[in-house]
Amino acid sequence: MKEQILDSMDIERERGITIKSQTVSLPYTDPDGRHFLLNLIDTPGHVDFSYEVSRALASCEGALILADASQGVEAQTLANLYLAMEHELEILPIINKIDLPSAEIEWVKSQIDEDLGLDSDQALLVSAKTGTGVDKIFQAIVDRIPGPTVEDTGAFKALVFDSHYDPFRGVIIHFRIFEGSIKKGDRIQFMSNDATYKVEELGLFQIKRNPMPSLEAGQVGYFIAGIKLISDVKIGDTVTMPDKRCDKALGGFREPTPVVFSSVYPVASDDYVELTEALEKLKLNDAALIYEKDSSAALGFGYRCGFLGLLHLEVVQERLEREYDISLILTSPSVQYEVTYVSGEVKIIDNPTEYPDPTEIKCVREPIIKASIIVPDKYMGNVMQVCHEFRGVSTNYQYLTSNRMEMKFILPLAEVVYEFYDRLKSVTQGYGSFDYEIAGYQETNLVKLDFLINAERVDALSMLIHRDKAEIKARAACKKLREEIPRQQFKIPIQGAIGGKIIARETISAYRKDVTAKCYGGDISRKRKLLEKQRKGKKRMKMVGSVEIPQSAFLSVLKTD
Amino acid sequence: MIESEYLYIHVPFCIKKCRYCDFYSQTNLSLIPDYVTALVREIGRRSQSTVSHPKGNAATVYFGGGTPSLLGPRQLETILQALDNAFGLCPQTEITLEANPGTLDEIHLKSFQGMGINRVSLGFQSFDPAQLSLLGRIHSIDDAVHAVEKVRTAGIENISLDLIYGLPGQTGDHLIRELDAALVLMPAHLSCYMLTLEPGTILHAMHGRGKFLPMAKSDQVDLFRAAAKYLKTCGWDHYEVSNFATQTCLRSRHNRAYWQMVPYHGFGPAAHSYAVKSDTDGSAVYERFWNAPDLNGYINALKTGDLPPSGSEILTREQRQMEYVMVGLRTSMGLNIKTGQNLWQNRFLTVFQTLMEDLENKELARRRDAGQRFVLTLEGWMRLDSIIASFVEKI
Ligand SMILES: Nc1nc2c(ncn2[C@@H]2O[C@H](COP(=O)(O)OP(=O)(O)OP(=O)(O)O)[C@@H](O)[C@H]2O)c(=O)[nH]1
Ligand code: SF4
Ligand SMILES: [Mg+2]
Repeated sequence: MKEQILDSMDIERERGITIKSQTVSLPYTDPDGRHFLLNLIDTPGHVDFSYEVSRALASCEGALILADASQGVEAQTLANLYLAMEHELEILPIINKIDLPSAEIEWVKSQIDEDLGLDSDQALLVSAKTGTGVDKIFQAIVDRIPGPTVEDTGAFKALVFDSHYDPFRGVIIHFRIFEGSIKKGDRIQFMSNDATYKVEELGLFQIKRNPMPSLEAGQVGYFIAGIKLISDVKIGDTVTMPDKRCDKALGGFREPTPVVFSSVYPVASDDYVELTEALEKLKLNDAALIYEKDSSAALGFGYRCGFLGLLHLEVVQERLEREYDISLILTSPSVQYEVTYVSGEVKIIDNPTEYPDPTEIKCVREPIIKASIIVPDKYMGNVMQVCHEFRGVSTNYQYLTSNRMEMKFILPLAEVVYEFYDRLKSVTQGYGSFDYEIAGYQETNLVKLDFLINAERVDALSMLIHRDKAEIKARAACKKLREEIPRQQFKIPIQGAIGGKIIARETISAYRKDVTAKCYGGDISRKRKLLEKQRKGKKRMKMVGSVEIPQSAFLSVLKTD
Repeated sequence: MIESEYLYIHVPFCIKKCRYCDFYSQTNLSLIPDYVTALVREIGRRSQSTVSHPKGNAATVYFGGGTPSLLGPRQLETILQALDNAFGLCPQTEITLEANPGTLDEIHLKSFQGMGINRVSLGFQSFDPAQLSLLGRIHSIDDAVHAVEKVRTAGIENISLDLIYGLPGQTGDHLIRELDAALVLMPAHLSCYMLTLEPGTILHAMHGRGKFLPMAKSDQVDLFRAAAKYLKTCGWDHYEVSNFATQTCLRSRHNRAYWQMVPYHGFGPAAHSYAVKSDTDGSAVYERFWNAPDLNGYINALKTGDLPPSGSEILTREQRQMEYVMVGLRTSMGLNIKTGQNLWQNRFLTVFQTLMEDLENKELARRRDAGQRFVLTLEGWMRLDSIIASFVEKI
């Protein structure tokens, strides 16, 4: 069998993560010869995509919680467990990767007892790699997770838990039926807006879409009903039928809210139209992506986009570049700040270009998160230090077991969207796990950091940043820009500034001292290929004033630490 | 008679791999006899398919490596015989042998001279024992000095020495002392190479593990300037970035082919060739091809009469333009405006006029031969890579 069969996007396969939930309906026959249809939804693990988990949970009777036999229970496992409990689901703990030499089953079992408060005697021991124990999962689902309770009220009631766009068939609705049955040709109605559609096709997800004549209560599947736009469908909506209307809608779920904002510009201005089309298409499959028109003096027309987090941003960027072949420049990602003007007016601002003159500002507040970090206690000091570096405040900690602890922090969201997670992983040698929820606003000392290249301010490089971090950031960014911007035929000063005050500077000299020592018969092809590659990189450049700035320079500023 | 063939023989054997070296070579010397047999076959096969010239056509033969001086007289003789059969050698043919000062034998040298080898390039690298051991060389300074005497005694006057500079901690004074030590030996030609960390070398790996900290590029370039200035005051002809001759006529004739886009034939594993052929419609096709760096594959293929594993590419006009700029700017001949106009179909000046003027204004370049040649100055050579890049951007 093919690996990663449900992680079908290129990015998912390359990065080895799940981004988009997938459903699969699996026929199972138990040893007594009874036939079952198991409806499984695979959900992403990364915090950016946690709304996908909450949707899936609303359509299920039970949840399988997987722990890595060598890593143990992670903060996200815990967060998802709480979600599952809120939905009163039956929970089945599974210890996976028992094939690994580093597996420590007893240790993970104790975490299941103590961290999760579940009964580890019930935990299944599995290796997805070798297949050991996988069959036991199916039997355990049948034995321990209740089948759907079906009330027959004569009404039709189903939950829309996801949707995706198919270029040939339009919108495909993923739904779970709670009451009644549905067949091809039925008229359905969405309860949020009373819109009605005729069902053209319905069926089960069995790796491919598998059409069925009808589906009934308890089943999970899809239907196609001539719906043109993803935006015509609200995830979490209740589907009913005009002639079998149910009286009450199911509880919906929270809309995913973007927390990170960045402007996206095409490197080649002519690609703007393509970018518009590409975003429209991406949006069809990614309801969490939001965007509106934006423009920059340096970069021309583009879009201001909202993302669920930095991973989501990277995924969107990569898909735009790869699937739609558009080279992009992204501006520094920002969170949404609440700015109170001297006049008393309050505005939410995420775009540095809209940031007012400091004299107009009374105060600025920034979003904060409540973070939960689970680590072996020997890393406690390191974690404290990293959190302080990222302007975090420790609120409390508790021992989960004799040597593992959960530490809680309040951290500015602006800090965690950057390198926080990588740093945490590195200071805890991979053992620290992290989860968070948004937790309101706190006052902050914000400045707008600008960059001037050849004495011209490049608006697309500006960023909003805490004053204490501005100088280090400015210096690092100027240095990166110096490395990334190719020499031109004149000297180019690069400056970082807050208002009129220059806080960092570098200069690019006209030609850098560098000479390749050898070039003989066998070197020529290889050296020419290097030149070709270099030149190709330079073709992706933006003329800003009199200086050509490559895409890589814009990206390098995003990444400086 | 026009001598027009430039022949390169790659000898992929060394006693021990030097730390900085990324040339294709290996240390299993027992394969030498099979290699020689295969080489002779390759020369025969390729000359049948490509050459139909009268004899006496070879301008140069260059035995490079590796360590060609590991071959015995009989083996070299066989190879030269094969080359003579295929291309025709004559007394004017410049025949160079690269030699490791640690592997030279007087009797051998005498026979080398007898079979027509008239130029020896000695891999000295340094006169400082500490540097030699950091570079991983097998010879001592005495070996090196004696090697020059031996070559001369054997009757070969055209001697070239290789030096490497820019090792961590080297000062300008140290480099001048190294040069002085070389000049005392009165070579006809000097190649002075800035140490470069090439991927795949031992030094590169040491660097990766933090065991070797290379000198900063711009400091190395400053040493380059010091060496060039010093040799100039001593009357040397700095005719290519890393190459110096006592007189113009003692410049390496073989390397000229590489820098002036002249076709050359390379034989042996990892050897590269450049050929200009005619297409069916009579237009010229420019091709680079190379044997794979795979000695066993090479020997096995030729044993069964096949050509060895290889790669090739046909150059587009744009690629030839890049190569012309890339190699042309390296030499004191520079870019020839006429050649440029041809290669760019009369657009050379339109494309590069502003850039060339800017470089001239900055004294990084100047015109020679009544404006017919565009040549970088020493200050220009010190910035060669970024100057080449700015030419290539405009192609
Ligand atoms: N050795 C071993 N490796 C496994 C096993 N199961 C999964 N893996 C590996 O663990 C990595 C992660 O597997 P995924 O299935 O993508 O993990 P996931 O929990 O779905 O990840 P997200 O969807 O991003 O939350 C992959 O490299 C798998 O090959 C197992 O039983 N044994
Ligand atoms: S530098 Fe010369 S002698 Fe040393 S390994 Fe390389 S080819 Fe052999
Ligand atoms: Mg997954």
